[in-house]
Amino acid sequence: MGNICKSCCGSDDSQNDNDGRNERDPLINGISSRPQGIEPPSGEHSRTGSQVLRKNDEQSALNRILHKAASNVIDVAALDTHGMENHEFTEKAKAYSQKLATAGNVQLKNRSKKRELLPDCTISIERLIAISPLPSSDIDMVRNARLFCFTFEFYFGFRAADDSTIGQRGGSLQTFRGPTYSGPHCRLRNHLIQTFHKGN
Amino acid sequence: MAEELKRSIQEVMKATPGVRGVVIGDRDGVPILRVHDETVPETAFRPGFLSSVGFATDQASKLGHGKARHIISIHERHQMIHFQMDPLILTVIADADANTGILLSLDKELSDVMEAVRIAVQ
Repeated sequence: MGNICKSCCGSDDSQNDNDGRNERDPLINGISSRPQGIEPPSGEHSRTGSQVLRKNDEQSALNRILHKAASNVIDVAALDTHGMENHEFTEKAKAYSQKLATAGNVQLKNRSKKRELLPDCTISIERLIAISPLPSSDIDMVRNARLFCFTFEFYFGFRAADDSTIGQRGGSLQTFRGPTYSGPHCRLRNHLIQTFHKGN
Repeated sequence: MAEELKRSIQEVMKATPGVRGVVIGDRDGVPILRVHDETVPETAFRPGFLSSVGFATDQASKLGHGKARHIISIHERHQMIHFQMDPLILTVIADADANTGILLSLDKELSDVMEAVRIAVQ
């Protein structure tokens, strides 16, 4: 199953960075990050010769296999053994803070400007007043749009944009109440209905 | 530079409702930069707690579903989102009822800060 999943999800090699660094490499060199579960064999310095080398090769190969097998096992209980010593922790924290302190300035996003939905007006009042008004054609267009909305509302008895009303009445022309409407705007409404019928 | 980075993180925290703290650390759980308010419990910054994230991500990746990109844990009062941004880990601590979807976008929002930290410490 592991092979199938590997083919679906990509090989583990993709986790390595392009510059040859592994994601598990410590950020700071010289400070051991974690206690190693499997230590390489020590000693053997006094012996020389091909026999020793071969033995070392076999041993390291075995260690590699063992390490690989151990890394593929899900071992939640090993969490406790992965903890760092306190002095190691403080040493690394100090090293990081020193590195941050000595690092040069960086260009960061200007977040205060980016998130302004309604920016403050920076133009002075005199200049704001001196700005030419909206063209009359634009104002006429807005007035006509309003008139159309009023016509629609008074003639058909509901607002086009009012979802609740449309939902109640099904949004159909059955909501037409006829010219006997006696609301506060009946005169205007009757006038609009007459104009509409004349137009047709 | 640390102050500049902290200020930038604070601006993101102000603009995102419910965020109480942001911690940038390494895979061993050592915090490199942290900004938080007084409501965040100190236990959230203990070495064992932050290091468990890197370990849990490693273990989760062995399930055969590929590499885990982030881990979300919601507790009684707080929720924590850990973003795996190798070689760093970004931890966002927020109220339990904060909008998790918005919090998940913070890795992109803080990408420049993360890059600056990565360059500084490597």
